[in-house]
Amino acid sequence: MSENVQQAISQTNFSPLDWGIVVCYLMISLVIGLLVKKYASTMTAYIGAGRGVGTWLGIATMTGTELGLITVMYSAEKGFKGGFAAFHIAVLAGVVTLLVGVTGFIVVPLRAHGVLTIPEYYELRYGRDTRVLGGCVLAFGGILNMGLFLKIGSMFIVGITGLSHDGVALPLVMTGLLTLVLVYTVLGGMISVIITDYIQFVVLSGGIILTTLWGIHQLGWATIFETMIQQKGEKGFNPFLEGEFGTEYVVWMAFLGLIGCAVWPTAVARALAMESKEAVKRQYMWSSVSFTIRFMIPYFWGICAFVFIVTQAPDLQELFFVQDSSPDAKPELSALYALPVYLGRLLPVGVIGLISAAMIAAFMSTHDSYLLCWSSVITQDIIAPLRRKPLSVRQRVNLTRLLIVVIGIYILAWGLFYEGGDAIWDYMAITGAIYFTGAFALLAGGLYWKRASRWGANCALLAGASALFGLEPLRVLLVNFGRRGLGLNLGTGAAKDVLSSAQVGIASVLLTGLVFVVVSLLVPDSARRSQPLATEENEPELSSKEQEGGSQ
Amino acid sequence: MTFWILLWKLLFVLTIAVFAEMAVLVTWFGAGDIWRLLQRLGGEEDRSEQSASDD
Repeated sequence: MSENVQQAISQTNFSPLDWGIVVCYLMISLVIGLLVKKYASTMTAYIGAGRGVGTWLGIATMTGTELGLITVMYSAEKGFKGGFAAFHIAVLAGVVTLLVGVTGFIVVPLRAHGVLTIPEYYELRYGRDTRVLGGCVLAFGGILNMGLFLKIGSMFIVGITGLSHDGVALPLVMTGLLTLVLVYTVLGGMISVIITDYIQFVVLSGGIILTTLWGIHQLGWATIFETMIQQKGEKGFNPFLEGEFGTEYVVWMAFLGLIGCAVWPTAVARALAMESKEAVKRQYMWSSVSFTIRFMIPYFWGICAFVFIVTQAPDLQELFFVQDSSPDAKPELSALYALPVYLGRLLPVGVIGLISAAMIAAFMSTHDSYLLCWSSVITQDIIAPLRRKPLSVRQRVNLTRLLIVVIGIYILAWGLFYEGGDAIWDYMAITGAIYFTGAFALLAGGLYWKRASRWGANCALLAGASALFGLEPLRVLLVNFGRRGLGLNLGTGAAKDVLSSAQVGIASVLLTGLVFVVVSLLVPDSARRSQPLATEENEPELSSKEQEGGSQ
Repeated sequence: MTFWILLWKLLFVLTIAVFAEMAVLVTWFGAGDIWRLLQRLGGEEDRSEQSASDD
């Protein structure tokens, strides 16, 4: 890292008072995790909080989980590059979540089945092999997906506090934060996750409103819009114009909005922990605001960072903007750093400590939920179904705890060794798509289509891997194969620009759906496995076995 | 472009206002939910301890 960059990052208002605020906050979270340990005595209590979460607490925990620091970082980058046009993603996410809340699409019938995880539903509907395969795909995609969370989150903290990037600060922050999250997640399970999520919601919501108003106050409401008009023109406002976004991108984002709330396991885990189907609906209707906010606010902060650099920080312009006109030229500093640098310079002493605590809250509430989610999937949906001798409740809880630590060590190692660069959003979208393209077909088909079959489900899960072609190197390979191997006329542009990740994503979803329908029709289930559709009239009741310790 | 500018301005202000209101409601009623959740889990824990001692 050059001296200019190091100097730019070290100019922060972060003071010892701010460190005090952050440390106090972390200690409070840890103590609460330890205090609620005694309640995590059954598997349902450990990974589902005893299915006793009320609506308001459900909203807090949903927001805490889905508004992670990684979301803030890549969304701020999107706002920095795309301007107000990026707001369409936030609006689509909110509208789709509201529709899921009103209709109960997927989440209400899933909750009514009384399962603890999505693959557990696969077994009820399709069979044990589908559960194990679905669990493997889910755990593989999910754990890969969170591989960069720790590093990116720690980069924000190191950036905003002005700690040295060249020293041991980054690995130390990563290790310290991870240890803290592991301690209270391992001990308290979902109960401590939910209660700390609540505290994190309170800190986070106050922090993001304060930061937003402070940014508007410092930069000026009119200046923000005028600067964007001058610098980006209509592309900075209209998402349908080709450039950073475009029509296909908007369609892809609408689908991702649905996935994010109704199929993504960490969000669905919140629905499965709710006390009733009415509570699930209320949770989703209110959470539509959170799902909008979690993107819109960071986009706005990214826009504010852009305006700040253009209007008030000429020394940063040469670091964040391309200086020469060659097509391969890149800025010296990644746009990911724009947000922490902006916040570090703009916010006053005290406020910056509160915001850092809020961001650490976002970081921790995402990590604890993801760790618990993937580890419980491996325990409940891969290991338990494959064992001949059933696991006891204590064995399940202990195994889940062990897996939380193992996954934690993996993300620490992955974060230390993997150089993410600028491709974080692509990386996350593709690793997520490995799971959700198949899962969407299996859940929607299983819940609403009587002829969905086990073979169709297994083939759809495997077809979901086609989403990997959305990754840039594989897209380039695909285009080059089309040009040279098949002799197709794909234009003269660069291979990576001929096919976008949004196009590959949409194609993968369509392919997976097609495979699911065709194979289900060609290879139907025997009459024995036919299941009634889950409607509000014939929702199944929770089994006492599941209440005690989860089914196998 | 004027349409998009007005739309984003309106949606942004509206979303912030609704979120601020929601934050107050969730903070207030969420605390009650936590109380009820812990009461319920505490009761279940007592019952499991009771049945273990009976056995």
